[in-house]
Amino acid sequence: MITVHLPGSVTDAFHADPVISLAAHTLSDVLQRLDQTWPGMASWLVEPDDCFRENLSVFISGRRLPPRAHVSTPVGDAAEVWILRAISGG
Amino acid sequence: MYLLVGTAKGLFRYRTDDRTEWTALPPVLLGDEIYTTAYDTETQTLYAGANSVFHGANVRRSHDWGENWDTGGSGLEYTADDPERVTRVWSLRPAGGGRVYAGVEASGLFRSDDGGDTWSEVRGLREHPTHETWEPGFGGKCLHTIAVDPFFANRLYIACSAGGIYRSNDGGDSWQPINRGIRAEFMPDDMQYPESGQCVHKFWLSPTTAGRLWLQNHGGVYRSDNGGDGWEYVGESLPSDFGFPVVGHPANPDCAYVLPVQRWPRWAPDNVLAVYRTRDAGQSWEALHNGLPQPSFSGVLRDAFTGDTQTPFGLYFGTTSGALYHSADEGATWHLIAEDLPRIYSVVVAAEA
Repeated sequence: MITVHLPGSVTDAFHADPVISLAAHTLSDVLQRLDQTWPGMASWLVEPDDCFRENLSVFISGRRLPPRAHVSTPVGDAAEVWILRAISGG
Repeated sequence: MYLLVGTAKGLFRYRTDDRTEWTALPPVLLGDEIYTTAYDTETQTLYAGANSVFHGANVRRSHDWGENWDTGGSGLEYTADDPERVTRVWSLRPAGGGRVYAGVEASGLFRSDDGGDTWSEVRGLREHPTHETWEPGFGGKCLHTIAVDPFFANRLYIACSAGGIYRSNDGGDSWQPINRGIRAEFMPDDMQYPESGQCVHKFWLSPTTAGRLWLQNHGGVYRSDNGGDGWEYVGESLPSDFGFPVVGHPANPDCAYVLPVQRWPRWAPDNVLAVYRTRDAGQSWEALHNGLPQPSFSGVLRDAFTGDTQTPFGLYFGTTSGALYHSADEGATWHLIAEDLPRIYSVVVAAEA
């Protein structure tokens, strides 16, 4: 099982839990599960090319992924995944 | 009646019973750019084009005037192998029977036949051979105006910047550019009247006179009497024929309103913020600025000016400096509703049927 932390903007809009536990081998598994539970959520996080949206930051167990990481990125057993809004201003 | 004010940082709502007293409701969709809203009286659904820097573009819906929102339907995206991406929603047009059109950036048209649950692209538009002439203006490469002709079944109009105005006579299956006579002043001298590529800023289709259109171009105000087959330039006597919005009078097809700005910088000519009105089909224009501030260093964006359906005709606009004005007497006097809002992108009047 892994743990996934979702950004507040997403949990507010979807009335979703901010932290969930699920079984996953890749981030694609994570997104599939999220979209099953809260339909439409995946499109708030990734684009049609299966890369994360530009202004989101994704961490897996303390390792920050490069911008627009692909959902095929593997996640290890007991991983802690954080999906965060990137630094922004204005 | 509600006044829905889309800004760079959320949707602001004002309610009135008499167009004199306005009640400000708490802002919603906080932090999202709201380029457009629309209300479908058939389904009592409020639609908002919510553009999030984090989560992309969505058409979100509310059934209680914005207190609660869904997260949008599915399908408002180009395919993964498409060289373009949907980055913003710019325009929304309910068309009856659950049909809704959405204009997006990068310029394209989507349609929903289930009230926004699912969306699919009206592909015939971007497949037009002139698509290669479209390019982004400063605001982006956007399809910003959609009109459904009440006189001709299956006739639609859209405009995009830059790209021009297009018309379909078959419900969107095929399209033709209708830019003949509209100048593209940013092109070389001998190329200023192309078939497409014009930077049309806004058009308005008359609901009462077949074929009457008003158009504010990136330089130039135009009128058409034949559904866009030809255009007559009518901006000569304005202090500047540059501007973004245009609003027509719903009952008088010869009456229209524009908000001129200088070519550069984009603010009111000589810093006199004024609505200009014609009542003779564009032969002459009169300045209406009683109650508006001077000097002004504001502009008004393409979707930030609108009218209502009441008598006398009411007008509403919001500025790039976050001030919101209205007139309940066809533009004769203006009154401040709100100020110090974020940059205003869209102003829409909505009421239950």
